[in-house]
Amino acid sequence: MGREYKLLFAGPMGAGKTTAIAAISDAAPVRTEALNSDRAQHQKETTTVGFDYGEIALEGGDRLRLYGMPGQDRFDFMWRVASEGALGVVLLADNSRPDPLADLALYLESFRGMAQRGAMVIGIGRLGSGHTSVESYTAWLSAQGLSLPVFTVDVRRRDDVLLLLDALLYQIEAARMLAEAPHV
Amino acid sequence: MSTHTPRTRRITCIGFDWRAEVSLKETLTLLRGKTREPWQYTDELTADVVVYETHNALAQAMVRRCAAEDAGRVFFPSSSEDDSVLTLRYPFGASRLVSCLDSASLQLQGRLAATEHAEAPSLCQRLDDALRTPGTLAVAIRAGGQQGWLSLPERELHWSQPLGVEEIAELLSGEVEVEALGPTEGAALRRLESAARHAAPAEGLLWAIGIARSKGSLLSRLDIARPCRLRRWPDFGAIGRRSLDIRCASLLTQRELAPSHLAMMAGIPLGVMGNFLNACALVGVLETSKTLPAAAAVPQAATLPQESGLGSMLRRIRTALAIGH
Repeated sequence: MGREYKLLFAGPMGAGKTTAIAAISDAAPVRTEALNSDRAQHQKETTTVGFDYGEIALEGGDRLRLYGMPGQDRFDFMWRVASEGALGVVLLADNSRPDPLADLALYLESFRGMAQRGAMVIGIGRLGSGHTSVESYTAWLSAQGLSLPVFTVDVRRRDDVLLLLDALLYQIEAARMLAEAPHV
Repeated sequence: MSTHTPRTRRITCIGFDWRAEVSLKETLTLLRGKTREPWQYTDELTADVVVYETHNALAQAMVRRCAAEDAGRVFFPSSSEDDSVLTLRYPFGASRLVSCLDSASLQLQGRLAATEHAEAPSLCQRLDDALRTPGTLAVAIRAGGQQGWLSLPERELHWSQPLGVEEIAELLSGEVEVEALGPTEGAALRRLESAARHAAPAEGLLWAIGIARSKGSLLSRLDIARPCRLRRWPDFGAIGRRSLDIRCASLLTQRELAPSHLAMMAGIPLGVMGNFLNACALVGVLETSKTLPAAAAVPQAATLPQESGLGSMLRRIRTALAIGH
């Protein structure tokens, strides 16, 4: 029986979590979409109400499970449950929303443990459609005592999703290496 | 990029007692493969590097004579009141010794390069000088029949059209001129403004210049022995994904490290590391420490064992996604 690892994709409704998972999953992801009953948050027709799910087969029979968290904050209890034992979280921001930093604050709170150990990466979508700059995101994170990777991305492009995962894996690896290395 | 072939350098020490000499020989043996170039101990004062005891009057006199005779040599005093001077005192800490030797390598190579290209500093160096010239409001850039400008302090690039990774690579394939424009060059700036109306963050262009147009030399304002860190991650979404850069950034955003230590931990040559640091400096995310590190243990390359559970898992994820190493 192979081992299973868990990677989370979180962010507000419409940020592209389902699209990001579809870009890298071995098979078409399992989606739990329903008609969007919260048009105040986003105008899209349907939205994720359970977990979206994809997976990547690893050498040796292990699997990397990819979970997309439902974007509506009434599901935040599910975020905390899902974060237990997770390798890390890819947090997607939608810069076209009225206050993307306030959106991030909600997710940071729920995934604070992973953020503090560096197991979080942030992808900013639709940068040109909003007024919050990349510097504003990093300055805001710095004020929270966090130095996390923040990149402008278009999750419809597989390479942009791979950039997020590459950075997340190196973050995790660097944290371990530095914990084991003497201060110099 | 330079194609420097490592050669064996020689080091000697004067003015210390015999235990320092033995210690230096033994430490050099332990450091084999951990320095930018191979090093061996010699008794001759014609060595590439001379370490001397500053409290020994005879040693000081010999160093003065050596320095007067030949400028192509590097000297490390055992102490100095000037913080910016690299010192090396007995007992020789391995980490400090590596920093000094790598710094000496760069100085010795730099002198050779300076002799070969005295009239041609790298584009990276010229641009950094222009950006840091006091009173500069903008830097004009001319390349391949096109021209634009960088506005300061926001480092925004103004060009006739948006520049993607491919357009930047094409621009940088040929000669590039840069010119600092101050308050007295208002007319030139207005001409540029009218021709280059598209404004975008300059991070992609600055990064590419640091990586591709550094001629293998660290910017003159950076020091191989001085610890540094990144105040934020460069936006690799705009710059383009290169795993080596991401690996280095993940280390330098989490801890302040001397470049030589960073190179060892990341498992990449110091010259390549220099290009990364130059790029970070041009983009404006590199912060250097005001103090040099105390002597400490040498960090090991690849300190995350590949056979550990975490190391194995990360490697297999990267393999499955075809990213990373």
